[in-house]
Amino acid sequence: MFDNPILFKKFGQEYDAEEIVFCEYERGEELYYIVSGKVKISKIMKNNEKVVAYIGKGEFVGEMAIFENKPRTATVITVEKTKFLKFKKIEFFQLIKTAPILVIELIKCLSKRNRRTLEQMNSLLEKDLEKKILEYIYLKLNEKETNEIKISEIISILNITRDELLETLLPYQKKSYLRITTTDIFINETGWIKRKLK
Amino acid sequence: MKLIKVKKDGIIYFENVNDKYIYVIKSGKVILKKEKGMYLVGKFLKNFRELKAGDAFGFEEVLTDTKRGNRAVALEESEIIYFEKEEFSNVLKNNTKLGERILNSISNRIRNLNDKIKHISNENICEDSKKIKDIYLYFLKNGDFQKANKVLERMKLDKENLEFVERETKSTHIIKEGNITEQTIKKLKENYIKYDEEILESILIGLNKKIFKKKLQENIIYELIKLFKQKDEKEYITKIEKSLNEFVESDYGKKLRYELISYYEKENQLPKALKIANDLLDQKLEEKEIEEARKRIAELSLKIEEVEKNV
Repeated sequence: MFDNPILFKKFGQEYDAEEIVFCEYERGEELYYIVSGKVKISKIMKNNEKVVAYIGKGEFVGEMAIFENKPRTATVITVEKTKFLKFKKIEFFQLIKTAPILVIELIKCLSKRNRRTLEQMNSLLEKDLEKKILEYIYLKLNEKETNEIKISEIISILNITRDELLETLLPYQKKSYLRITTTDIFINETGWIKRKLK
Repeated sequence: MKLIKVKKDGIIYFENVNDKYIYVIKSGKVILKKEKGMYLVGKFLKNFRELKAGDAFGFEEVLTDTKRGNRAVALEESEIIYFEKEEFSNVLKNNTKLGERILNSISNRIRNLNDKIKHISNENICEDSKKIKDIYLYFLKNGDFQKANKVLERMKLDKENLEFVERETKSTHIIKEGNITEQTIKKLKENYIKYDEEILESILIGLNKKIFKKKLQENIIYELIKLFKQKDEKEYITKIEKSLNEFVESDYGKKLRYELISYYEKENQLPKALKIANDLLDQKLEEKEIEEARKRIAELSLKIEEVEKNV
């Protein structure tokens, strides 16, 4: 559907690797749909760059721009050669009639975003670090049938440091409830989290 | 697509179950309840969210293949349409308003949540133009001058930054030419030293990552160290002491040794000053320089003698 040449002819844009798509704080009213390739979303400060996520084919970037005229909240840079469909708000809503699947894709993308933001808010409201971490893990496990959680994701969503996370989880690794690698945490069983949270 | 009638307090689905339907309220009211965690409703934190006729629910989990994150209960007698994911696009085709309504509702929720998060975490909202300058500085520091330049081009679109962009484009075009010499660095210093040392520092840090000619690199490090002279003298001296041995191909090492001598002399640490002056003689020096160094050594020795006499 999105590889549709007519659609690409009208809205398509091609970027080389390592090109800036847009910068944080900049105003922009277009949303981008990634047809192929890969981009990184990052928060750039004076002395460092914190990569929030890598996203690729089938996902949107800059999607909030079509609902509000506010500055971009992150910088997006292509990682490899990337093809986009670039829409302005009006163009996008016109497409709803002919390509509802596009709307569904966007709703999906926003739903994910909404859930992440809600989790982030709830974890900020929780003061107990251990509870906060275990609740997040529990939520993640329930959400998807997987036992693997990315460390970078936990620390960025919960707004904690890597050390805080590892310090909290190490005792559980000793009991073999979970296994920590450099990038991920593998949960071996879940009964203990339930007991702990009660 | 099917329609069900639900009585008051009737449960449409439970939390934590897999359920493949998307729901739209035809009439009545539905409440989404959470056992754990809160919703942000308007400005208030609540563990439930109320929906009315025309609202859709349950699509978030269905589209993202997750279990129900809440429980849906009818608040009053309600009529609810439900359908599977595969039918969603047909439903939207026939009802474009529903698509817009869903999109607007989620994006509103996200926006309010973001504001709340900023509020809770006390995140400072800085001046926009200052922050985009941070991105510019970051690329300069990484030696990624091409991207830095792209940031400038983007800033140009925002008319408030015009003056800054113009000045920067003028000052940094000499880096873009690629052939960087000591002359380039001198020019950069002249351009920046008065109005923005932070940018100068960032450019030098960036160049240091990109330049591999030893002599030029020494020049860059020297200028970087010099930037500390006015800002923080102690830091300046520490930096000199740490990097002295890095200067092998240029005269900058000698210059910095003289800086150290003057500093220790001023601080009345004469033996230290004398030692550094003696070290100078171990460097490759021209006759004139040897003479100068000897003169300095003699001066310092005399001073030390005088001090000892007084004691």
